[in-house]
Amino acid sequence: MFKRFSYSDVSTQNQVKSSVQRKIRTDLLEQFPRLDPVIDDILPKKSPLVIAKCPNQIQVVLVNSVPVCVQSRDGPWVPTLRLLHQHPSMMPKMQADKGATKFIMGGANVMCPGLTHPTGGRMEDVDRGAVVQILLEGREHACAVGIMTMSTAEIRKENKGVCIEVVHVLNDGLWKTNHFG
Amino acid sequence: MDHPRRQRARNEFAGAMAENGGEMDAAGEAEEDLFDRSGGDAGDAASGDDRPTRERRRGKKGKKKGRDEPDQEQDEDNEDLFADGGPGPSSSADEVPWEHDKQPPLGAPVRVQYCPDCGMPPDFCDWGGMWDKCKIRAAEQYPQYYPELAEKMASLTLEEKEQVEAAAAASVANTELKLLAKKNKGKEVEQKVTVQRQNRKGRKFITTVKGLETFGVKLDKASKVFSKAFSCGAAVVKGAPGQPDEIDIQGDVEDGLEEVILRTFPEVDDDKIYYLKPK
Repeated sequence: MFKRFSYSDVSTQNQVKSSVQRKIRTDLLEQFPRLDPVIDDILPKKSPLVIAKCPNQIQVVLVNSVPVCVQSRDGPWVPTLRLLHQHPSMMPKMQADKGATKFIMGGANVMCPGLTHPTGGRMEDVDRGAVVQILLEGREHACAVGIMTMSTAEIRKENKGVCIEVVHVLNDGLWKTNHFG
Repeated sequence: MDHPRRQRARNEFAGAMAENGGEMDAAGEAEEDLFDRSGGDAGDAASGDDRPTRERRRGKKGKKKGRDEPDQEQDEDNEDLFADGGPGPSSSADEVPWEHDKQPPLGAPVRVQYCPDCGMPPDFCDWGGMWDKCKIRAAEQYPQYYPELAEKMASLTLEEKEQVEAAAAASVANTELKLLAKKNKGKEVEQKVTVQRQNRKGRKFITTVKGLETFGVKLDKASKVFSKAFSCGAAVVKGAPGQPDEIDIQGDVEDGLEEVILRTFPEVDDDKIYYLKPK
């Protein structure tokens, strides 16, 4: 989604109303209940929240010009990888085997066989539509975040095709744009 | 003083730890701790040729660690204290429990040390686009992520090391050149100025000048020059998206324009000024 993205793609940046701010906060907590103790660090009450609008109906929430999370249309909020690295256990993990590395790093969606791989793959039980972090066999940090298009049970059963739609991956446009403005 | 099992683990990794040079400051200890945990798996990966064996080993290891955990908690070692409050879940991602909701609750943010060269997390330096440069640092500082590379680098003689460094420098220069070429290629457009008269209404015209910027002329300066020379309004007009800006001069000034351009901007080539059919 952010493969070719740069700051010049941002069409508008607006400070949001406090009601919208509250909405984002509750949405984030609903999606990632584990963020509860640290939400005030992530979205400080004092500093204003800014939403940057990008092409294809993508919105990026900025705190002090640093992207925190993104949303496509009215889909779920997806945290940036830098935020995820700060709080690695905020959301479910899905691990793909080594063979998937080059495809995922190129921004491809994750396919079932990578996750069900006998030695490299590991999954947590999640439903369709959940936001997950994607790990790679033999590496420590998450390399991508994505949205499940199948549930874990379905993946085990079908073992075919795309199961995680990758939103944001290391070294993509959003990763390189750590500062808006 | 040490727990016997820990002591054994230490001996196992003594070789790897020797690289640390026995630094005993806080940072050194943290790194050592990383070694204790993930260095083990790295060793497994290197020695386990066939996957099933490796998997079994890892399974055993996991169980062993599981039993170990209470011991570690009792152990009033400085190192353990540091591990509990410090790097936290990120440094022990491979440990049991693996699931995110079985980790300790979120606390202070983990500050990942991103690679100063490519900006990637250290375990993804090889995807950062400048691996030749990064790998020297990676082998030294993060051998737990690149066990094979670290081994290889450690076995090199001084001379060979120099060679690797030279190769790194060369490749860095090379990629920079490539980047530069790419940049220039994108920028390199034909140097050409076009002048076109546009009909507005009745006898009113606008003269549009395009392409002055290809000669390095500043458009706002040029528009000022034109408005002075022809005693009329001239403005820089934003081009359509993806198109460069242009200058609109009020009135039909096609006749004297070439002369003015050549006089004020000697860098413009008079063969490169073209008159287009009036619109």
